[in-house]
Amino acid sequence: MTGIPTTGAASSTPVVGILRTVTPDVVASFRAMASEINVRVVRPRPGAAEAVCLAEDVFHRVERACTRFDPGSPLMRANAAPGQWHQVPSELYETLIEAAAAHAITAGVFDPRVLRVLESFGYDRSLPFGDEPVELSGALAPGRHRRSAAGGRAGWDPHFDEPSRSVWLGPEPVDLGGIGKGIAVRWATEALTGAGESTLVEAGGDCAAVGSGPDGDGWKVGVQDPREGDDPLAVLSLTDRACATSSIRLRRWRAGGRQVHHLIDPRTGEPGGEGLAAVTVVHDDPALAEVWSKSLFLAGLDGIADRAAERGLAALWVAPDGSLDLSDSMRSMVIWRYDGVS
Amino acid sequence: MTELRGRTARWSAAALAAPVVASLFAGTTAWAVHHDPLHPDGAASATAATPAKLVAPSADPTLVALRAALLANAKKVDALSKQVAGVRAQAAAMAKGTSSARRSTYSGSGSSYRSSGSSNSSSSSRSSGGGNQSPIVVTIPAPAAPPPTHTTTGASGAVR
Repeated sequence: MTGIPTTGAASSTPVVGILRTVTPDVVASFRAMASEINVRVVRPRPGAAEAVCLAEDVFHRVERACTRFDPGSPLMRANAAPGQWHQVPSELYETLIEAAAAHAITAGVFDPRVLRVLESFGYDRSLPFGDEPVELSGALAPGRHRRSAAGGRAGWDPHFDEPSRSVWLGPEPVDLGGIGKGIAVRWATEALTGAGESTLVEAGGDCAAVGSGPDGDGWKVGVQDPREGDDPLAVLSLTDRACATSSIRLRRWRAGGRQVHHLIDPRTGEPGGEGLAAVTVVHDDPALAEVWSKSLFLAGLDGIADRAAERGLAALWVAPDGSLDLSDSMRSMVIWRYDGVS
Repeated sequence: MTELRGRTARWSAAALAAPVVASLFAGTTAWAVHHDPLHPDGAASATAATPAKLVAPSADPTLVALRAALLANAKKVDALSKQVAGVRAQAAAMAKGTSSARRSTYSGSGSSYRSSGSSNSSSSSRSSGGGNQSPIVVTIPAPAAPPPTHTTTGASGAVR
């Protein structure tokens, strides 16, 4: 088991003085949801290791309930007959409720029903995404689902029955990949409450930073260059905040002779976000950070500044040429940015 | 009797003349105190406001030389500032051109740009009297390296 918490791998900044002792951080790394997950507890208290185990368990439970790459998962069983009622595990039930709320607050821009569009582009299984685009030979199913998505269909209106924890998805199957990870980060962070002075949960681009970090002046989060390389384009300092990035650096592939990516605009049924390569959103809640990063991405370069300002969102966006811009709410959190010269 | 009358007349004349002489003396003394003998045209108040040791600027050769040097240096600084701005813009264009070049260029502590001196700065140099046509080396500070980070936000599924 790779996720067993260890101590000492990331100790805090050395403490000057003889009266204080340095307590090694508790850290854990494991894979879930097709991502590498990292958990860190700074200056842990008794029970921190157990809390980290609980945090890891959250990811595995959410993945088991919400994955679309396992035909036997509760989500895929419900997706197989979305027009029927299904009793589902609490992880899937809660995630569907959150997804429905996100669909409402984004005026339908966040829409889990893009699953069939993704499948029509050949993204019907976990693909080996890397810095090089994946080529799906012969893929690109007829655009029936894309036309359906663009056809002005009604908003998503799933039904829930709390006593039996049952759901009715509606006529179409759904994909909960992004919001599922955001919710897992939220619950894992809750599992770490009180485990130490500061905690960090990071899951493939989504993270929740609690406390003021190892050095006491905030958790430093690098914003990845969506084009290439390991050098960040900006560095954020976060305290009691979460962030998420929607980027097309990895999850893009060629299908039917053209390049597509996973951020589907439900209004067009096509990959969206014209003029953008990545959007990062800082929010109080990791799931909403995930929802808004995707929704702002779909606003495209022309619309993102107004959309972020309208919602008061702390957002940072990067164009395909690497140029970077940010909303007013984000400025106070950016402690460094690459500006090309100085 | 005649002697007595004559003595009285002399004393009366003296009594009349004394105040006149006294006031005349006081007047001339006051005039002499407040009057600048260098400016007999009556511009006493204006002269009094200017310290006597100052002379007209154009009359001091040292000051003239200093002013000329100051002017020349100001022109030189202005020309160099323009040149630095041009070099910065050029560096920005180069940095924007290739991201791979970015890493190699800024991995060190700084980079230098050597100017041929063909811009308008050279004419400024000539006018300043320096006559120094040697190349000007401008050091462009490398951008500050990003601070150490605890984690990264980026593409989901990113393998680090």
